[in-house]
Amino acid sequence: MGPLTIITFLPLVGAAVIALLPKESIKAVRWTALGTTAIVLLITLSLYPQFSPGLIGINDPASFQFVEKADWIPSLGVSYYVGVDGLSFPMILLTALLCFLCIPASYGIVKSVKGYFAMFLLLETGMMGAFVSLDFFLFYFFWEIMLLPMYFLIGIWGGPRRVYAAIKFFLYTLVGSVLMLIAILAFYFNVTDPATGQHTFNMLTMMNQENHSGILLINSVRSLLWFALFIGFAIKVPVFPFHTWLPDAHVEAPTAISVILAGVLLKMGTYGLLRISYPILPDLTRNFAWFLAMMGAINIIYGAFCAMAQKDLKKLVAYSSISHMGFVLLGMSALTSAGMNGAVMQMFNHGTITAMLFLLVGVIYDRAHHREINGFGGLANVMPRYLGITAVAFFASMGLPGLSGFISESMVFIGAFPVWRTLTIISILGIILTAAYLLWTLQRVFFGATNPKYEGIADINSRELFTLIPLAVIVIYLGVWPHPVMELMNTSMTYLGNLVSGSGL
Amino acid sequence: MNVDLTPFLPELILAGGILALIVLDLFLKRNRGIVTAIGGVLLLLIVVVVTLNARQNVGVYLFGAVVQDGMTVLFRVLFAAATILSIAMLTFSFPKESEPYILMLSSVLGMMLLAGANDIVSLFVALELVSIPSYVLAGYHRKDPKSAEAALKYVLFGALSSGLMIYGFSLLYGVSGTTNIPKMADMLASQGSFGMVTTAGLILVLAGIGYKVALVPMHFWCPDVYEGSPTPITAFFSVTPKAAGFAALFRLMPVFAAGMPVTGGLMTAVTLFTVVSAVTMTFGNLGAIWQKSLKRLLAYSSIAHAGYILMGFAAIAAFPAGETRDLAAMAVIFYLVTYLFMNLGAFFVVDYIERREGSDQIAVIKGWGKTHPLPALLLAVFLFSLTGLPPLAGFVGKFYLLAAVVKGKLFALAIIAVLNTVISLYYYIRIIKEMFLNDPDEATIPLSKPTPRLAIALGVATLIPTLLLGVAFNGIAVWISSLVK
Repeated sequence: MGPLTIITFLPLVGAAVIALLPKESIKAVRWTALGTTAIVLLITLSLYPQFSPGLIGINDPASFQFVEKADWIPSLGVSYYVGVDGLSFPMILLTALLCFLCIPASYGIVKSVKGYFAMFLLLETGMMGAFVSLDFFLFYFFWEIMLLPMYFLIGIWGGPRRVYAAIKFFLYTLVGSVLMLIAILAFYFNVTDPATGQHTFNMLTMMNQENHSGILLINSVRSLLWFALFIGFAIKVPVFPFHTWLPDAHVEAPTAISVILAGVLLKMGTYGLLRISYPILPDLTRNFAWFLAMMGAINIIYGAFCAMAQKDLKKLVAYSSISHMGFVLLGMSALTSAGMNGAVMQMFNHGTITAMLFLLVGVIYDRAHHREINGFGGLANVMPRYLGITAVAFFASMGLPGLSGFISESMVFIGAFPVWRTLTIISILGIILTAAYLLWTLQRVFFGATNPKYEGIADINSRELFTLIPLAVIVIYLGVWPHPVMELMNTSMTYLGNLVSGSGL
Repeated sequence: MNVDLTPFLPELILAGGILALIVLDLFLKRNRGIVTAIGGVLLLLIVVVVTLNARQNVGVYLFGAVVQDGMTVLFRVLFAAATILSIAMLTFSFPKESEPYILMLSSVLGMMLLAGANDIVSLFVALELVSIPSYVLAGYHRKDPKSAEAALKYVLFGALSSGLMIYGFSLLYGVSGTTNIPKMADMLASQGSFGMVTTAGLILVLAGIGYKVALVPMHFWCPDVYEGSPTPITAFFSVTPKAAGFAALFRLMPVFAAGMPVTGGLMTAVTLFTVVSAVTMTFGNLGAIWQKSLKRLLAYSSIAHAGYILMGFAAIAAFPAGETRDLAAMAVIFYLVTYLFMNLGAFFVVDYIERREGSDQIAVIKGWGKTHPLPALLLAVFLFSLTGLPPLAGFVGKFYLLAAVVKGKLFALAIIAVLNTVISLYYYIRIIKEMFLNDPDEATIPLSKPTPRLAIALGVATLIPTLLLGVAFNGIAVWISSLVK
């Protein structure tokens, strides 16, 4: 059993252990969850020095790392095939990190604690599995497994409109995934593994254009399949106009689940595009790159304007996520080395920054029991430490130099500008809008006269700092020295960009 | 002439056994139901063993009236498995009466015959043998007006559809001059003219089968009968006679393919099956959204599932021979296997709810996730499986059906089917929401009645396959594939 299998299924084991614990032993449940996610994080970190950044991965079976392969359903050509490359390794780092930090952030949960942590760990299995899968069937399997725990986590432990938000999330994402299922089957029946002469779900076999046959040779069918996949992934990102589930889900979800949702689940969408659409249909991706760029620009501007109009702090952060995921789309649509690296870097950085933002919203919500931006005022006087850490997160989200957001956003712009001039210039306006809504929020919440209601409010406590400080350290460190994460992805992403831009010319 | 009766052994054993059980019943004073149930289960187990042993005797018997092949074996095992679970479920409601078991077994005898029918006469007779005991079963609670209404509706619709079907058969006989199904297909294929008579005859036959499996527009009886019949019997109806209807359709597929071929003719069988399948699943799913009773909701959902299964037949109609046909045939059987466990499981929990709360309204299970966590969890698993979400059996069943449809290049049908999955999630999840997302009312204090051991066994017997067939299905998929060829 290799490390990837362990980090995928250990949370499932943890969930099973929790299910067997007695209902009353809340402490044991929490410790089991914390221990499980901690081990997963440690194993993932221990892979860091072993990971060779020089290996390509993407469509080359030989250069994937920590590969495990075993027959699962041989009659169907399905195998248990996992491995990582420069695209997925940063994502599993992010997943392991955020899952671990979200456990202490969930200690405020009082309702059916057992169920909550069991579901949370099941979710971690789904996310890890989806990131490491190299078999399309396996990928779909894990992709769908994420839905069930998410539905319950929002629906049982969420806010007042949790039932509505949970079902909306579930229905939206299911529409996307079933369309993807048809695309998967269409690939399956028109891809033949030259080694066995059988159809296969192996993604890497599907990426070799020489294995395509039948309807996969018809350009219009390929376009339809590309869009079926795009819709499936776009709903997760979420790309305008498929985004409406996101504000609802975020506002209702408990803090830790918002963190996972924004930090990891949204990345699933862009990850899917990069892992599947890009290498399997590179010619179509190149043809529709303008479309991705346009959607990216729309996301950036639309999300920023929506964020500016929000009165609810959490909704503001939710819309800012839509805006920031637009940068990912813009970067990856450019297909240049800087753009591709910037996109994945932005996925990683947005994961950490937005996690901070949601945790910070959770901190203030736990004290004030509301999230009205205009309902605070002057918190700087009573919560100075909270202000400090909030400022780091806000400035990082704004893309201030010295913080990680700056690096990835500027890479996206550098990468995208030569290819999509107008769209990039429009998108840069998004930075100004982001600065505007974040600074305005900062001012309304922290400065001015102190709201007498919150005179005696407690500053941020050590448990909350425990979850925030590591993220802040990462945000600052990567802002100054992005190399440790950048080097992981560089080879793979540059290769993928060239693969797509060089295809079908 | 080959009058070898060995391929009939399962039916002969079953028929003899049923008679023996009736006689045995005369000498019983207490626990009549339980004893008959045990007898019935043993009988079916013997039938399964005999069927599996005889799976090598491939051939046509009894003057061409009966065929024995892999399909016969598969369907017989399927019927037996579904009936064993239904009988176990029946013992909670009918511990003292033996009649429901005898009636159920008689209906199964008809199904066993149907699985091997190779002639429209034997097929029709077998189908009637399936139906007639069912009418009595539907109305078993004579004094309950809903049950009586259910029986009456079932009989009237049954009579109508039998009439339509036999009329259709008479037209086909008139065109082909034979009652033997393969010969009929050959005749129709060689004639080359696919006039209105053939098409009308086939549509009427599909209407007759559509009644058995509840295809739109022959589904009207279904929600009322499902609601009115005693719940374990509804569970039986929702799976076994449906599977029997599909077994009959399987036998008739060569006739459909020859009479309404892909090229020429008024209407192709592909179009017919595609349209009926799409309409059935959509109608069933939309109908289920508004239901307040669990049994009615599952009735509409079972209509939708009949629509999904019919997708496999659309693929067979598109490619009557070759890889696509084999994949589609395998998908249909596999789906029936998964459907058997998840649907019977769901009805089993509904029966449990009904016996505990005295009602099958969705409102009564409010907060069951807290007050009755195990049944609630069980029902949630079955409903998610019916939706078709991994890692549950229902996903794999749907996956194979979709695979067959995509391989048959019926993309529009595939898209309609997956969008239907989304609709179905909406109503299945309403039940789950009621159980887990809503808190129980203060007034409802859980009854601390102990759960009978058989109930736990039944829960496990339906749960394990629902979980297992979702992740480890290679063996059974290969086995089914080897038998459908």
